[in-house]
Amino acid sequence: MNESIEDLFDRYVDRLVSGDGVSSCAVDEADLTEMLGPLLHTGELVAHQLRTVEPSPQFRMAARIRMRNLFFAKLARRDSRPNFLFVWWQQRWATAMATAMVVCLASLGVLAASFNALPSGFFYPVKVTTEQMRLAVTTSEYERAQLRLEYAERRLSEMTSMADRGDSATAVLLAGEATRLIIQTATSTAIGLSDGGSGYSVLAPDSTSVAVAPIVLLNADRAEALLVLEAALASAPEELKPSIERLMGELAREFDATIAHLETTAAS
Amino acid sequence: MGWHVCLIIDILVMSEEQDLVARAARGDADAFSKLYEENFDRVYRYLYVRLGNEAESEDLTQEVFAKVLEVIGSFQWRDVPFASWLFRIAHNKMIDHIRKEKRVERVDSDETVLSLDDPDPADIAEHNLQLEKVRHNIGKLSPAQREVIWLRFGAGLTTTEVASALGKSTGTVKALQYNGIVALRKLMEPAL
Repeated sequence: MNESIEDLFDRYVDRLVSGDGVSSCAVDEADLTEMLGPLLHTGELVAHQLRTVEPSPQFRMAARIRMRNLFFAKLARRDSRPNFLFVWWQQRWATAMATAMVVCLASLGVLAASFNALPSGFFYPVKVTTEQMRLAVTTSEYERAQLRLEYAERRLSEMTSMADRGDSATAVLLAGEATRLIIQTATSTAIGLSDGGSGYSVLAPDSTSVAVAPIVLLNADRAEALLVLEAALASAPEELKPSIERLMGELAREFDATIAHLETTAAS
Repeated sequence: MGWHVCLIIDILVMSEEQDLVARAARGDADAFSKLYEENFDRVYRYLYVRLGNEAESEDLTQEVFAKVLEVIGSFQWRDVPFASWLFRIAHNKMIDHIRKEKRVERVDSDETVLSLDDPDPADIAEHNLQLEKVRHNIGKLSPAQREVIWLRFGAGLTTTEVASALGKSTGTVKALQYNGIVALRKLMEPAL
């Protein structure tokens, strides 16, 4: 016999790991069958049990959005140096830093200047960290939901502006951030969409990859965000409904403008 | 299938993967996406079966891929399969986490996520019980056998990938795998 027992066993483990059963492992020699058969059954049991462990669809979706944002943040940082300011705010210490910065700069009118800042702008970190601070100090879940909807609207407006400037990577990043804010709002206790039955979780996009062509991603975000908002509208308290309806209108308009712009750029 | 055919297939698969990794390192979204999708579930599974905690496994899975994105440009091929490199990162992240938390790997998990089509609570409980028995028994193997079984059966790595990830020869990995399953068989015998 040329092949050792460990080699032979390994070949069968390849099959077990890829999902085949012991029955696919036809061992030729009778003495080997007696020796390997019980071990293959143990291997099959181990492989089968461990294969049942899977990430939840909600985690898969959230991780995909986060990864996509990181990917496009890296692209944006690499392609356009000023954009490094955009990702700066995502770091955990941003809120603490911003507190000191906002206090120092408020007297200089920087806050007002930052209101219309874009991700490529110098004052953008001030704008976003001010938003984070407002969220942090707001105790009412209902008001936090209002704020998140407002911020999602801002991200969408920024997305269109960045697409106008030809920065598709940052536009995609902003679309992802707007979608994240919308999902966060919809699943907050103010609206209370659970992951079951709300509709959006079934979108856990196995077919939507983490980072594909910008237009594909924007279309996926548009569909996903609208679906979540529709579900949110059905469950939201009356006070939040006007904000959600307005955001739905804005969302469709901003996404359409951005996608149209990128298509024109791609065609030319 | 002869060994030379396997070798040719391995070379073809590796050269395709090499191209994918090179494109991902240059910022090709499709390539990175493919690597991510192909490996996400198995990295999660590897971490979960090691840690036995859903929240920690989720956090670490995200950290692993964030690290991959950060350092993929510095990935040196040198005949090391991408999966081996990826699981070294996953392993190191997990060790760092365990050290930081100053705790030992859990043999018993407090929660599980199972891919069951039938959401019957009794079925879920039964599956959880079976999974925990398997995890518990794997936890009793020698560290080297355990690592091989996690990577081979949990993460679904090939013997070559496991060998490369652990810095051992394929022969050693095969022996550890064989002896590990023999030991598991004995540990699980009453249940089999």
